[in-house]
Amino acid sequence: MEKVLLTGNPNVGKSTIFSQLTGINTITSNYPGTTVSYTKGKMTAIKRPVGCESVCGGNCGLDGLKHDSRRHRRKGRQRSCQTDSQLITYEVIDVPGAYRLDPTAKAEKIAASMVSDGDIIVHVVDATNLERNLFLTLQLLEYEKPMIIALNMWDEAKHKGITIDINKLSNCLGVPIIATNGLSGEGTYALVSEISNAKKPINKNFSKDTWKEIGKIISSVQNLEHRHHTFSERIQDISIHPVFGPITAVLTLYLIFRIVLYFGELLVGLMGNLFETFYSPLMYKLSEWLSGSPFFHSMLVGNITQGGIEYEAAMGALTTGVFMTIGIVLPYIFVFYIVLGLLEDIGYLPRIAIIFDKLMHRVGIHGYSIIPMFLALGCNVPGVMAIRNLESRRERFITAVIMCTTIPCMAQSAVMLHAVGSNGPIYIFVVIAALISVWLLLGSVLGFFVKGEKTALIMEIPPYRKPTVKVQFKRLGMRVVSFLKEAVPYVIIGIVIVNIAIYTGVLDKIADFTAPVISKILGLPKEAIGSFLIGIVRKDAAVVLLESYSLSPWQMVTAITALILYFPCLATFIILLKELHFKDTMKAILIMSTVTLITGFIMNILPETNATPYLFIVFSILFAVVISGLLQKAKDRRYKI
Amino acid sequence: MNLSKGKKLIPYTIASIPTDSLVNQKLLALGIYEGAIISIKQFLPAKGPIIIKAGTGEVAISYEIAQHINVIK
Repeated sequence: MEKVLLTGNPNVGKSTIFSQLTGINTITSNYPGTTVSYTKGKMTAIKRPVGCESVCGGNCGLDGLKHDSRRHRRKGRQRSCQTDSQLITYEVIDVPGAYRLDPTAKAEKIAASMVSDGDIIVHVVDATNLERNLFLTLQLLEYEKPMIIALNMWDEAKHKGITIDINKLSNCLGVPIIATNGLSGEGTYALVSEISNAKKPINKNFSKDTWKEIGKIISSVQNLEHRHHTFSERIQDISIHPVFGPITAVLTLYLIFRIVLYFGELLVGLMGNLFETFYSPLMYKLSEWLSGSPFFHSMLVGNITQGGIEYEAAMGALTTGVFMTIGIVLPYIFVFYIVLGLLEDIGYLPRIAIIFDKLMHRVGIHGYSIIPMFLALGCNVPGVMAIRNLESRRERFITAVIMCTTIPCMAQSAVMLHAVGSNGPIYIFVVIAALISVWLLLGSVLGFFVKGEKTALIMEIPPYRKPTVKVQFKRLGMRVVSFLKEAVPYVIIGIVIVNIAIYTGVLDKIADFTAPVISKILGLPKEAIGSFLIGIVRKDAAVVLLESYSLSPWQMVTAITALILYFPCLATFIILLKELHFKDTMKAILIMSTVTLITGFIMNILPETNATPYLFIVFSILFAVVISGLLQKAKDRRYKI
Repeated sequence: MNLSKGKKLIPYTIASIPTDSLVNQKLLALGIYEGAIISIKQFLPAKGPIIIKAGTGEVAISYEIAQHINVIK
């Protein structure tokens, strides 16, 4: 099967065209680096018979599937292309975006290594930024593989006053060019048709000075019309304004927090009612059915009474397990992914990276690292995968460590908000303050000590784009399904394991063994080890278990902070191993454990008074800012080029 | 003059870019090469990134790198 590679610069719409060609849904967004690994799919097209073009001028079968046989008959040919043409299946590969084929970032390396293996290259070019895209085009032409250029975002270019003479450009490069719009599907049929008839490029002998060559091409094919600033461009200017930019960024982050909290709570209430009305009767029936076997009853249903099921305390796999994932976590995840999807499509995330670049420098990395961290707020797994876009091992290590240590995923945040917030909203802010302080301190210490190349920000800024409802729904659906597939079984299995450990007395033995750490250092009841063990599988399940111990508000805050910090969940750990490899992952785990013990111990020794939460918030942040400032001064390692 | 000392909205021609291979390759791929005409769109405070217009696109460059990009009016 022939391999069709979809290549191009980051954020030119390769994944959207991939979805159009193969029908496979992929996650797309408006910032460079969304695709960090390749996706494969299949596409079927009709290959035109030899001589067909001389009869119909190449206009037949533009979609590669239908063919205008009447036109051939008019020309006196007896056969139609439908009978002579061949049905061919291609393997289509969506390659991560790359600016060049001599790359430094891990995602770009994947792209470069794949090009030589492909049979046909579909090079997706952003029509709004032709000049920059041609750099990679000229590098790809050197491979002398059959190639077609999909000039994407064609409509947007026209809207921006950019006109491109496609025929001239095609002659200059020696390859066919199809104008496309990945979102609407315009040009896809023509592209399929060209793929099935792809030929090697006509050799144009470009000079060694790539940019001089590009300059010549651009001046002959592109025309720019002057036009006034649009409303969207004015908003873009505000979001990177020296004064309004940071204000907008902080307000946006605060707004996201409030929206997720407000609508999340609203949906949690709704889900609670739905569970009571539709799910509780089922659980009562199951409870009745299992009344003869107490073991299975405690595993699956747990403790329920006839007055109403207390889902959070029942501790049955089908009561607490299902309710926590679908009734508590899913609503918050749902709202967060709607907000994240909007920010991704509009193109705001790269602006946040620019605004926070200076802050990120304090922890020894640059602004782009904030994008993986933002993704980690939804789930740590895509967050860790996104570190592939970072160039140095040092940057990848620091970003991964501070992200996995201090950034709780939405599932964790949801149960955390629920568990801690029930004692008062101030305790939510205590956990947030603890995490921000650890983030700043840990990052500063790592930035100071971790050796390696220090890179600086060089990042393309995409224009703002209007989000489309279709893409939003498709991506939201994919993310929700992926969450449900991963969370529900793991939480259920986790609860069953803990129940078995309690039932058999194994948990008591482990609790006795780990009591010095759990009770003396963290100040928690020794049984809390059950939560930490289950947290290795799923942190949201661990918080559920915590709620079954009667902890004081401050103990709950300490336990939840420690749970967030101590170890990534199993899925994240596996991806960490893949991205950082064994040695660096072990170092990361060691750092996380040490940070947990130090933070937990500090929180444990504080007296539990009414003023403690307020004092903790102020002093922890102040302490982190001062220490990180001192480290910054001590570092004094100027950037050397 | 280096780019960090430039003024907003004035077209500059790039005279030289850093020779460090990593930075050099990245700038080249984004259309920031010797002879390219660019203009500064925005300076972020406290020696934050500088946003420049190169061709029809925009690129953010950290202040430290901008100090090593020489431009002429």
